[in-house]
Amino acid sequence: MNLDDDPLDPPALRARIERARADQPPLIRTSDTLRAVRRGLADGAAAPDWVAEFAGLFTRPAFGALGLAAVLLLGAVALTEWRDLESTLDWAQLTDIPIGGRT
Amino acid sequence: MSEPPPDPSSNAASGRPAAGDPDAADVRAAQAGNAAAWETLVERHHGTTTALLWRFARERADLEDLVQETFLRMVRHLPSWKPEQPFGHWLRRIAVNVGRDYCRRQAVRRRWFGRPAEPDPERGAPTIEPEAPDRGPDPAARAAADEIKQLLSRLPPDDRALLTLHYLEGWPLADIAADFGWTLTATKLRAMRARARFRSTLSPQDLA
Repeated sequence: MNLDDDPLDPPALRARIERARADQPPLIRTSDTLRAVRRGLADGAAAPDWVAEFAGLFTRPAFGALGLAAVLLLGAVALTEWRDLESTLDWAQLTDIPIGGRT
Repeated sequence: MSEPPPDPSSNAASGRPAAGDPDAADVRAAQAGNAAAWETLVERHHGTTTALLWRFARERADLEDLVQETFLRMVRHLPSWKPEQPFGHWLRRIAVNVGRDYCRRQAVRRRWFGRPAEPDPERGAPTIEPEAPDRGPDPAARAAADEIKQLLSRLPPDDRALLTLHYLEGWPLADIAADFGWTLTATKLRAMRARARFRSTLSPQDLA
């Protein structure tokens, strides 16, 4: 198992990566960025796409673990409640007493 | 967004100021409320930040958003910057986090909306368009970069970010570990798995 630096195979991919590294970014004017930042500060604006940003939070492992814990907790509560209800029903049938009512 | 964690490679642990940080005076002025000072910082780091974020972005409009988001976060978090960490590293970490968030958003869009990983023509010309006046000087490099980004976009977000920084930007794994807040061993393991996953997603016609 090689944990150290390892070029990507196959060679065609390596060659393409080498070529891609020479790519230069398109020109983004600093003045445009400054204007946008000033506007963002003035508006107190959130991220450009806050819905996706929010949804993106749930792909993080911490949120996944929290979600799993919440599901397990809900499942445990539902199971307990169901057992309580089931035993109440059994008891009601045995004693022939309507649930929540008087004879 | 959360504040970038302290850089373990900096002098923060020793409490010493980063020696000869050329940005320190401007950052202090910006922290004191001088707007011209943060604008100077934006101007000084605009090129390197744009180049870094271009490794993540698929199209020009996305790149603009990412650059703006990075500098907006920079200005908002300036009060938390400490002179013990070099400003350039601190800003680079913000940019990397913005890039990772972008990868996550794209992954979520693909998963929930089934949106293809191709550049969206509604949001500006694809970067390969010949009429783009600011196009990179090397069309073959642009085409190769577009292709590699498209292939990497099939990976989970952190794998994509890791391989992007390592192979396209040429970062050592130790630097990625420091910026991602992972241990070096964990980063090596993740890189190995990411490479294996990447290879498994490639079909023969991908590199034809």
